[in-house]
Amino acid sequence: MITVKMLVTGDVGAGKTEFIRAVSEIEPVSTEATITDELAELKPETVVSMDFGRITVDDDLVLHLYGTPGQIRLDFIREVLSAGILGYVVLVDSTRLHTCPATRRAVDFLETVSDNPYVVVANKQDAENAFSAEDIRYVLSLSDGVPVLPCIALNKELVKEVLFTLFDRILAYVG
Amino acid sequence: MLLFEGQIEEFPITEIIHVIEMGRKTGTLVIEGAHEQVTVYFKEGRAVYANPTYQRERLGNMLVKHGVITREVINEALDRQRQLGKRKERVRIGSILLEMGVVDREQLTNYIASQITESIYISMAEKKGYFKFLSDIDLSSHDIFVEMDIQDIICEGMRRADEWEMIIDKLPDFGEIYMLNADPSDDGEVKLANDEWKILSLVNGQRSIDDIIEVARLDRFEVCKSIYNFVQLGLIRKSSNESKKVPAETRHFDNPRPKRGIVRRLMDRIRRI
Repeated sequence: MITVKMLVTGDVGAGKTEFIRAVSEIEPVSTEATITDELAELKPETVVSMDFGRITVDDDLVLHLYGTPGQIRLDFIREVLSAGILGYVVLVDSTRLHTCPATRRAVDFLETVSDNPYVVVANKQDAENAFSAEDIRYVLSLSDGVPVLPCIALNKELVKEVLFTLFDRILAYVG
Repeated sequence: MLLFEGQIEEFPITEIIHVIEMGRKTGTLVIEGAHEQVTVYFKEGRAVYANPTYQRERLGNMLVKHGVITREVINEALDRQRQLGKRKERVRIGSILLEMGVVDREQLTNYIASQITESIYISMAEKKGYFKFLSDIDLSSHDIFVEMDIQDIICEGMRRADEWEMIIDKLPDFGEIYMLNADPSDDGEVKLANDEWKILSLVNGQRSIDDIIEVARLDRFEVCKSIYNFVQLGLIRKSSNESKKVPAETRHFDNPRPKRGIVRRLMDRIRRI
C-alpha cells in the first residue's frame, strides 16, 4: 500500500476542514496534537487541532489529507511531512486580510523546507466582502508563478479544480 | 473491512497488538508512525508476515545486509517481480529468490520472523501517528509464513521502547555529527563487540547518526544504542564543527519525487468523486 500525503494549511477559520470534507471519503477526523516547536517553548503542552481526511484510490494507493494550522511549524509539520508528501494547499480566508501575514510566514516556511509544489486558495469567494484572488496575491506578495485560485471550499467541484491545478504542478515537478 | 482505526497517541501500538492477540483476530494492521510505516499480518492473533514500507528493512535488503545474497541478485529478483507484475501476477520476492535457488526455505523463514519482530519493535517505538486494523488479509501471493507468538515480541518491544526513550533523550537529533573523543575519561578498559567496533569506526566527525545507520547496515536500534553507550562512556562527543549541521528549523525535506503514474491515478480518482 502506497500512502501519499497532502497538506492543507491556513489560518484558523480559513476553511481547512470544509476543504478536506469536500473530497474526503470519510468525515474529517479532528485530532489534537501536542506541538514541540518554539511555540511549545513559550507555552508548554501547547495542543493544536489537526484534521485528517482520506481518499482511497484502490488497494494499493491512498491519499491522506492533513489539515494543519498555518502557524504551526517545525517539528510538528516535519513529522507530518516525513514521508510521501505530494504538495500543499495554502488556504486564505478572502474576507480576512489580516490573516495574510501569518499565511505569508507559513508560505515562507514551506518554501524554505520543501521543493514540493503548492497552490494558494482564496477561499470564501461567495462572501460579499471577499477580496479577489488577485488581491490575495498582492497582499501575500506572491509571484505570478504561484497559482492563486478563487474557491469556495463548500463546493466540491471547485475544490476538485484546486486539486487538479496542484496535481498539474506536481506532474511538472516530477518531470 | 475496517475494524478499527485511530491515533497512536491515544491508543499505543502495544495495546493494539494486545487486543489483536487476546481476541485472536485475523487481519492486517497498518501503522503509519511519525517515523516509519509498517504493515503486520495476523492470523488468529499470531503474527504471520510483516511488510515494513521503509526501504532499509525489506526482506530483500535484510538478506543483502546479512550477506545471504548480493545486491545484484536482489536486483535481478526485483526485475523478475516487475515482469510478473506486468502480467498481473503478484509474486513475493521471497518466492522468487527460492525459485532462483539463491536461498532455502529455512533461511527465508528465519528472515521473515526477524522482519516481523523488527517491524513490531519499530512500530512500538512510535509515539505518534495513525493506525488501522482491517479484517482483510491478502496473503494469497505469499507462500512462506511463520506463525509467531507475539507475547515475547511485545515484552522485548517494550524493553526496547524504554531504552529508545533514553536514547532519544540523549541523542535527540540523528542529524548530529559525532567525533572520537581525543581525551576520553579514564575509566579503565573498554571492551567492544565486533558490531560495536564497526559502529565506532564509522564515527569520524563527518557522518551524522543517520549516515552511520545507513552505512553500518545494522539494526537501527542497535546502532543508536551503541552510539548512546559511546557517548555515555566518553568515547565520542558531538562534533564542534557545527557548520556541517543544518539547523533543524531550516533543514530541507528530501521527499522522493512521486511517480507520474501515482499522480495520474490520484487525478482519475478525484475526477470520479
